[in-house]
Amino acid sequence: MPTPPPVTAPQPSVAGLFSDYQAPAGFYDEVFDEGRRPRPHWAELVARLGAHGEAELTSRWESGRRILINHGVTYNATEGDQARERPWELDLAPFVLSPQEWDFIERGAIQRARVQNLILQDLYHGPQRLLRDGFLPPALAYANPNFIRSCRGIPVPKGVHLHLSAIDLARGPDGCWWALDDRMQAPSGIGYALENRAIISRLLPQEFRALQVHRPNPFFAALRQTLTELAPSATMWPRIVLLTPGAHSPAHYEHALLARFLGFTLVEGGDLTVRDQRVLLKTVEGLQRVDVILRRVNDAMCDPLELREDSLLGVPGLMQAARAGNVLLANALGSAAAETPALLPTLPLLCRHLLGEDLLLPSTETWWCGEAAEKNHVLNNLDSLIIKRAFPTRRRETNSGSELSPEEQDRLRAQIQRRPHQFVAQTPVPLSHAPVWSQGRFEARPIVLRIYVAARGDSYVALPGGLTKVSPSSSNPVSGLQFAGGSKDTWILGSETSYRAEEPMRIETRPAERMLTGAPSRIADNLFWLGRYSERLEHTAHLIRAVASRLLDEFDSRAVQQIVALTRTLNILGVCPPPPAFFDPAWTEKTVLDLVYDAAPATGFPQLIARIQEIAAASRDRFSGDTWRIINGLRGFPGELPESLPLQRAQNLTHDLVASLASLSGMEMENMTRGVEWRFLDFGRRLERAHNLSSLFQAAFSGAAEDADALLNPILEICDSSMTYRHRYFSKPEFASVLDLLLCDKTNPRAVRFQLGVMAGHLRAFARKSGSRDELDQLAAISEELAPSAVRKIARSVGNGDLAGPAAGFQNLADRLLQVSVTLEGRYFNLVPPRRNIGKRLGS
Amino acid sequence: MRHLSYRVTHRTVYRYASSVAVSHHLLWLRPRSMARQKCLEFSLEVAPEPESVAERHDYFGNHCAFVTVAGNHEELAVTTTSRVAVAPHFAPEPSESPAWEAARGQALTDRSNRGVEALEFTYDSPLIRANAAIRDYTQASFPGGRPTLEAGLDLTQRIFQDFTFDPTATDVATPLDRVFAERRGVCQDFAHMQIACFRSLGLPARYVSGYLETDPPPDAPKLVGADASHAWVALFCPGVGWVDFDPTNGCLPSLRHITLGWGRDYGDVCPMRGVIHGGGDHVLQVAVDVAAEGPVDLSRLASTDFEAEPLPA
Repeated sequence: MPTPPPVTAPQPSVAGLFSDYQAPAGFYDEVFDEGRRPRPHWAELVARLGAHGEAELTSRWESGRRILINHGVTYNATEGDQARERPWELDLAPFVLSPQEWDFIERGAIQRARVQNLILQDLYHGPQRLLRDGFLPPALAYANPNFIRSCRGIPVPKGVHLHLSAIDLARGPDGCWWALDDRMQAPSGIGYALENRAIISRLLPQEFRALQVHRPNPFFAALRQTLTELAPSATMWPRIVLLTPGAHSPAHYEHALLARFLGFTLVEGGDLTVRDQRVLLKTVEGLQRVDVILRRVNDAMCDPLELREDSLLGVPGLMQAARAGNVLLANALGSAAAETPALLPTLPLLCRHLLGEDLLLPSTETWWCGEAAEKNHVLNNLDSLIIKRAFPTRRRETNSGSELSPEEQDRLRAQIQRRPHQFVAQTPVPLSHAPVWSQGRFEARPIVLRIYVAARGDSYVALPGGLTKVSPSSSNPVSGLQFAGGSKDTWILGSETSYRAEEPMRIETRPAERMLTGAPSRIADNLFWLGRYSERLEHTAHLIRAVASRLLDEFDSRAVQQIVALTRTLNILGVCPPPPAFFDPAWTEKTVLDLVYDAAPATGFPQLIARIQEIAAASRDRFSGDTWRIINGLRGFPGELPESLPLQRAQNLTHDLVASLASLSGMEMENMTRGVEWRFLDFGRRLERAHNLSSLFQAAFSGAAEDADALLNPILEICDSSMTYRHRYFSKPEFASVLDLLLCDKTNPRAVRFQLGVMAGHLRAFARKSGSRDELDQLAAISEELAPSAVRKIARSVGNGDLAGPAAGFQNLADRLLQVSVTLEGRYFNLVPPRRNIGKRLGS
Repeated sequence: MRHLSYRVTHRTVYRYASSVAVSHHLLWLRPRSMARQKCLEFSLEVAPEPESVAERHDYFGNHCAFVTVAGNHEELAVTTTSRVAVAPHFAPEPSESPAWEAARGQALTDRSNRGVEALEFTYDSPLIRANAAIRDYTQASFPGGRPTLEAGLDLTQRIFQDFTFDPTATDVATPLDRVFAERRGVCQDFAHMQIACFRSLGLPARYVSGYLETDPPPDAPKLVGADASHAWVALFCPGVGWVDFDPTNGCLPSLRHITLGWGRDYGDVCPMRGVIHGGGDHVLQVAVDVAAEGPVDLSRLASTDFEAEPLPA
């Protein structure tokens, strides 16, 4: 008789998915209580996830990963000395908090920010009473490199030093939350939190609605409102910029995303300049006033004149502009002074003293070695403590005492003895565990919760949920150690009592006449070069394809002649080394493969693609998701040199590349707003195309007369004009008509004159803003030389066997096109030359 | 009180290899007024005409000017002219000052404005990090119970003897460790050195930037512009206040030292620094002239601007 199924077993699917999930002994389990029953606020989500079953969850998880890759959501991780861009890791299962618990965390985080703000006020603006009255050990300011003396006296509107602040929280084994770390100068992560929400709410839409998850919009509206209200100039529409360290900074993706989401201009230090104690943005329409800087650049790097001289990220004169009250910096400079963990032991006392309240969120147990008794405790208990620098500057050095060898411990003790005030020690918190989807099941991983607050009125509002950081493995289970990137969306559940009425995100549409159109010069510069490089890549692809297709066909003497002429032309163009005197198929094949796969030649695919990626990454906030996907897709090209049929594969790859590039230019034409930025992009493309064609003719006429003849067909192919030619002339190609089609035909979008016409349109638009017509005049002169009569003259010369004259003419044309580029760059991009520090030393 | 009056002219010229589009500068060039020094007149001239000049008191109460020069220029000239009255330094007999351990003790416990201010100068600063070797060097001058100023003067003279003045040995970026190892440098290196010594024992010490009136060589007329910016140190001594020492000359500064300002190290009061956009290489010329004008009776002059102004709120 078969055994009856057990009646008390949990739902089989839940048991299956969570069968391996269990927090290790001694760690708090976020989902299940001691009896393996889901905690009330997790119960519904656990049941719903279980109901989906493994296959469904896996497929959703995979589509989530696909979205992340397609959106190009990345962070730049540091591995050794190398920074590498990695995809952002987002787990499928959100982290869930009950409204009651959230209410406590929110109040605690807000209270903490208020205390810290008051401490900064006293240090930088008040009489430094906290130091004098003994509430704050003087070393916390005076020995603290993040206490920036020159910030004293800089006006801080409404006393708000911290516009945006963050704390990391961990839940200990007893279920209580502990504050681990405060981030006050430029906390990162709210952009990733936003992205996490956008993705998870799409992957788990029913759950998201059913659980009435709190939305982030009011937080972002508050942040924007605060920055607008505190802006120094009394304008309704202050210009707010987000200052990023640049495309290489770890969180550049989120800087671009936040700038787009909040409607701020994304700028780098080099985009800004100080004149007359005001901060100005270099735009293609000249210098424009900046009112507010939401910064992601650390304090010390903000102004190479007054702070760190070696900073390439800052703006010289920025502090003086702030001192003169002409710009709002968020957060206020010098905020990092309060980040020191040496403050933590004193925080409860300060909270009582400054707010008259008890500190709600306790800090993890901390000893500051600047006090003798604390130092002795630390020296005697290294094994059970985590040792940190009290005043971290660039790197946050952390040592777990128990992981040090006896010799290392002795060295550390000696260091602490020498400069006790430079060290703090903390009791590690065993981190609570939450489920992470991994290979078809949930496994328990340690988590840390990062909470964000933004200033509003005289208090703060919190981002509901914040960002849950997940340890990459189930080891690493104590606080104080750095996590490398995993994250979760964080859900604060709604309830009848606490669910707040949704305050809709107000989309602040600016009246058209107030629109600040000035594109940062750097962006215009980037887009111009993106246009040039993508056109250059496409041209190179056509050149390579012309050779490869002939090599792959059965080649007759005509094809051989064409291949030889083509390789000679490529050599004159500087694309490949000089070909051997006689046709050599092996040499030609190697040359093609090198250009396609080898990272060495500057003219080959790998380098051109890398250049495009680099330029595009630096102006990432200017591209739509679709455009970015295409650019991101180039990442796959060209891959490794294949072992079998390499030439055939190179040819296919070139076809694919041409198709990708065509969709990129299609996207530019059909999906980009026709603003100034688009004009620079398109101008770059047109200029490059006109220049490439001139150079191609110049090279074709620089060799023997029979080479020039052999090149007629390939040139039509390279210029994508074979079809047009056949339709129009019904004849074998001959010089007069080929030159006519590719040089002066204003209706052929591949012809030089067509490019000149489009370029002139752009230049007229630029001239309306800048009032300068120099480039237009240069262009008009070029255009005259391509009048039909002039081109007929060239054709006659060629017909008479005189190639030198036309070759020189095309050389001249190419040079003059480059001259237009130089004039344009000088006028719109290089508004302020690069900078350097000068100082002098004393003479005696 | 009998004062001696000086006229100081300080001219700095930068000549750039190529045109500079914009430049920003910070100047700590206006002599401070304080108990034993009064700045009677001061003028600042910048050529070409600056786009903005903003003067303020810095964190330490020194005068600091922010200057922007916009518009292409190949040369920048900054000229300051000051009239300064200096009174003699009334320090007690070094042998009668309190023991140095008491000076350290007071810095650690005194929470009066003066005490907290002194405490700030006991910590490492960006350009000055004390270490065990420097402490060992210092201790030879600081046996237990020795009067603070006597020990300080002894240290001053030891640095004067042990270190060689050599403008080729160091530059602005030379770390203190190397100055200590090679025993060579210029005034700012020696000042940093002595400050590191004091701080290695927990004594408050600050960096003083200023000018020194120099004597012409015997039988030669004094040359205009032969003087120079100078730097020395001040040590906090309880019951006395800040007392200056000049390790470059092995002496206690008196009537020939004119103070511009002070800070934790050179970085806080560097006379002139800047950031230029463009410019390429540059050539720098500095000419300082300190001319004694003779005794001055301050009671006959208006007393405005004499007292050190308070910190900005």
